[in-house]
Amino acid sequence: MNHMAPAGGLKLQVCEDCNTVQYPPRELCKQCLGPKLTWAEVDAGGTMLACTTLFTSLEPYFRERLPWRIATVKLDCGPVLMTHIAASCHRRDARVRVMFARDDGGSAVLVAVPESATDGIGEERSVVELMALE
Amino acid sequence: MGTTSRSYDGVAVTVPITIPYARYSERGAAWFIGSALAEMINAASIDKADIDGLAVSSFTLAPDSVVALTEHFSMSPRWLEHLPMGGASGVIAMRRAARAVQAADAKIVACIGGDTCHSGSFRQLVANFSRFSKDAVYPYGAGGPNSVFALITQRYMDEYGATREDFGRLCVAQRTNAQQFPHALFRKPLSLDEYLNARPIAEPLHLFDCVMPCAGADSFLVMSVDLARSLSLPYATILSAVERHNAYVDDAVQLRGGWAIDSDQLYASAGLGPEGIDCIETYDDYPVISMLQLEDLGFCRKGEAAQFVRNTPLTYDGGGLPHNTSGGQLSVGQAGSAGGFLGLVEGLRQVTGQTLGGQVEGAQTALVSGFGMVNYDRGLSAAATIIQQGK
Repeated sequence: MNHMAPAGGLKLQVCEDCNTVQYPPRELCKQCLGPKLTWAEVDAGGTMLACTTLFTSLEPYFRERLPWRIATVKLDCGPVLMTHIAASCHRRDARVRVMFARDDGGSAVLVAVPESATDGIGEERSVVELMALE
Repeated sequence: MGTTSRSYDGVAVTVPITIPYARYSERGAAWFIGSALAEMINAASIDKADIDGLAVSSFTLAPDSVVALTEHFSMSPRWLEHLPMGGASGVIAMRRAARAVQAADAKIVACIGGDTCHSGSFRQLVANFSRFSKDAVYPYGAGGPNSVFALITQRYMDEYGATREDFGRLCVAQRTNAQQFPHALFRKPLSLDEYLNARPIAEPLHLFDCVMPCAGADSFLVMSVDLARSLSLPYATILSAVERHNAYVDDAVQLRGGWAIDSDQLYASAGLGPEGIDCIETYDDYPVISMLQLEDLGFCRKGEAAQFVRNTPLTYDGGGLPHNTSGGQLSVGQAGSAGGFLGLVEGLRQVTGQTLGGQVEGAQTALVSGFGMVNYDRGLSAAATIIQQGK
């Protein structure tokens, strides 16, 4: 299955006891409060619930690159994520796939791209590249 | 029903004080909080030593807390509370203080929300607001609360058909109220056209949807009705009060708040319904949140707040539902935690006939609601109270 592709895939914390997928990262399972959380590949498919275009930012990095788009994505496997989002995703309830990318500071951040545009995304891409995906 | 709280009989809320807001201040939070304390002592004609309870909410007091303030102000209270609930902290401070007074754990509780604002302090606050927001919100454009509320507002508009004009009506009415209120940072009249043509901040939010961070304090005293009477202080009584945290955890986007769970109880305990409310002070960090409160507190059905604000005058003298009668945070400014006290202080002024601005004619009751703490993608704390003129 396309969304299970390992490279560019999505690893989140999953509870070994009750299988609840967690986000943002926690120290204990939010459901059963168990301690066994492991980072595991999860279904990266989801629905974009809302998006916004930022025209202001508190950080110079983004300020130099405005306008900047972010979204709220509900993953099929449960969690709600805030993500950077590809320019082509703007229709509400658009189907997306969420993946990790390195931002310029070297941190892993989430980017949502159109579900239909995920073929061939194997190697790691930059956030800006992913946000330009059609 | 085991969930019904006991009444707040015999408790008075009194001495509403505002330390005028300033866009920036070189002073610390302790200055604003202590100044509010001094003004309350003065206004009530009591001694500092008479205040044996202190409840404080502040973001910029760190690394200090209310404990440190007892030394700053050389007080030895026997009851102390520090409230980290931001915009819900005013109503919650009042609830806590009322119980302390009923239990005789304290005689006079000073409840104060106060913060300072230096250049750069807002960025500092937002960047380190919570673990979740640090990890999972701030790296996404660093838009601060504007990001989160833009997403909520967009979904709300899509879901219920509300338009920017609808939010604009609410903002314009509040600006009309603010013209009468001396402490409002923004008193210039605002037209709907100006609202609509303002520069975008985070679509669909534009300039006048956003509060201005600033410095200031709002506060009040809680004591027994008997004591308020003997001090000849105009006071309000608490008909009911509720709080709820992290409601509706399964909602993917926050289109309702904890008020929806507790509003039936709020009205049942008060013995009146929305039609018995003379003015309402909602928490207006963004107009969509005021819309949620109008719905969740029963002034209209879910999704119908846009329709409601189209048909209902919201100014203090409009004959409809007087709403955010001092101008709210959208016009007065958001002095950090004081934003969680502003509505209660204004509601208290309205029902005790002590307004500094527009007075709602014959106001006997006020509903005040609070909302606070966007830990990740939604505000976690909701609170509401109905207060009534003391007889």
